[in-house]
Amino acid sequence: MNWKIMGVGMALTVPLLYFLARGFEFDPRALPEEMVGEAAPDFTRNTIEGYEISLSQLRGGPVVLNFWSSWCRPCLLEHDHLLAAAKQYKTKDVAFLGVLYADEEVKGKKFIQKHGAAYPTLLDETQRMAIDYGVSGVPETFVIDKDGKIVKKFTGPITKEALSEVLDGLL
Amino acid sequence: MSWLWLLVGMLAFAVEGTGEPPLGEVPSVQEKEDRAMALAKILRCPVCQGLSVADSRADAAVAMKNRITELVGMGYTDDQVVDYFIGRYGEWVLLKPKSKHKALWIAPIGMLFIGFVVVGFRIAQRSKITSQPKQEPDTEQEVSSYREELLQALEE
Repeated sequence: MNWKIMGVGMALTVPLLYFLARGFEFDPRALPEEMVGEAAPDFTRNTIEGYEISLSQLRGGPVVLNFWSSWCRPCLLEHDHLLAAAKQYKTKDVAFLGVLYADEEVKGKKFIQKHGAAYPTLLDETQRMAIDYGVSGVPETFVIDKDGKIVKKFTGPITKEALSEVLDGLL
Repeated sequence: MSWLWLLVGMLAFAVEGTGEPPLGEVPSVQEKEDRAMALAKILRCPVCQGLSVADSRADAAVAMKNRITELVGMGYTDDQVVDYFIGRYGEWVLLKPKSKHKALWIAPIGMLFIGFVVVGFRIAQRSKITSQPKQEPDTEQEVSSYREELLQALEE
C-alpha cells in the first residue's frame, strides 16, 4: 500500500466529507428566521372589519400574527386550527390577528364570510408589513411575546397543538 | 429644486406615519430610480426561485422594489438598504453571497489547482516510466531462464 498516496487522498477527502456532513444539518428548503428573537416591527393598520389596530396597543400579552390569503390552500387547511386556538386563548389575554397578504379585500371578506372568523384581519395593501416581518409567502405565523419580541415563526400551515405548545410557554 | 423633493419626502413621511426619519441625503428622482433598480438586481425575489426583485413580477417582488425605492428616497445608503432586507430575510435574500465568505470563492479554485497539480504529477511520472528503455535479455540463457520464470508464475 502506498501510504503517501493514501495520505494525500485522505487529506483531500476528509475535509470534503466534513463539509458534506455539515451540509446535512441544514434543510435547504427551510426559510430564514431572521426576525425570531428581534422586536416585532410596530404597525398600525385598518382591518377588514373597519377599524384600526396598532401592535403597540396589544403590548402586555402574547400576540399571534397570521399572514394568509384567500387563494392559499394551506391557509384554508390551518384556518379551523387558528379559529379554535383563538377561542381557546381568548380568556388568557392572547391576541390573534390575521394579515391579508397579496390579496384583494373583497376576496378576503368573502373567505371570512364563508369560513368564519374569530379575530380581526389587517389589510396590508402595499405589503409593507409583510416585508417588515420578512414574509416570503403564506401561510406564515409569528408568535410575539408580551414584551413585543418575536419568539417563534411558523412557515406553512400550523395546528392548534403546535401553536398551543408555544403559547403555553409564554403564559 | 432638491429642497422641494425633500419637502415632498417629509410630507410623504407625515402621511405614511412611518416614524422613520431620513438617514442621509435625499437623492434626486433619477438617482433614486437608478439606485433602486441596481439594488433590486442584487436582491432575491422571496417567491420566485432564482429571480431578482428587478426581474420578478410577483407581488412580493413589486412590493420589495417599492420599499427599496422608498428607503433610497429616505436617504438610506445602498449598504443600509441591503442590511435592511438582510435583517428581515437573512443573507439568503442576496443573489450573490457576501465576499466575506472567502471560503466559498477560494475553495473551488483551490481544488481545481490541486487537481491540476495531481494530474500533472501523474503525467510526469508516467512519462518517466515510458521513457526508460526496455531491458531485453542479452543471451539465449537469459531468455530461457526468463521463460522458466514466466511458466512458473503462470502455474502459480
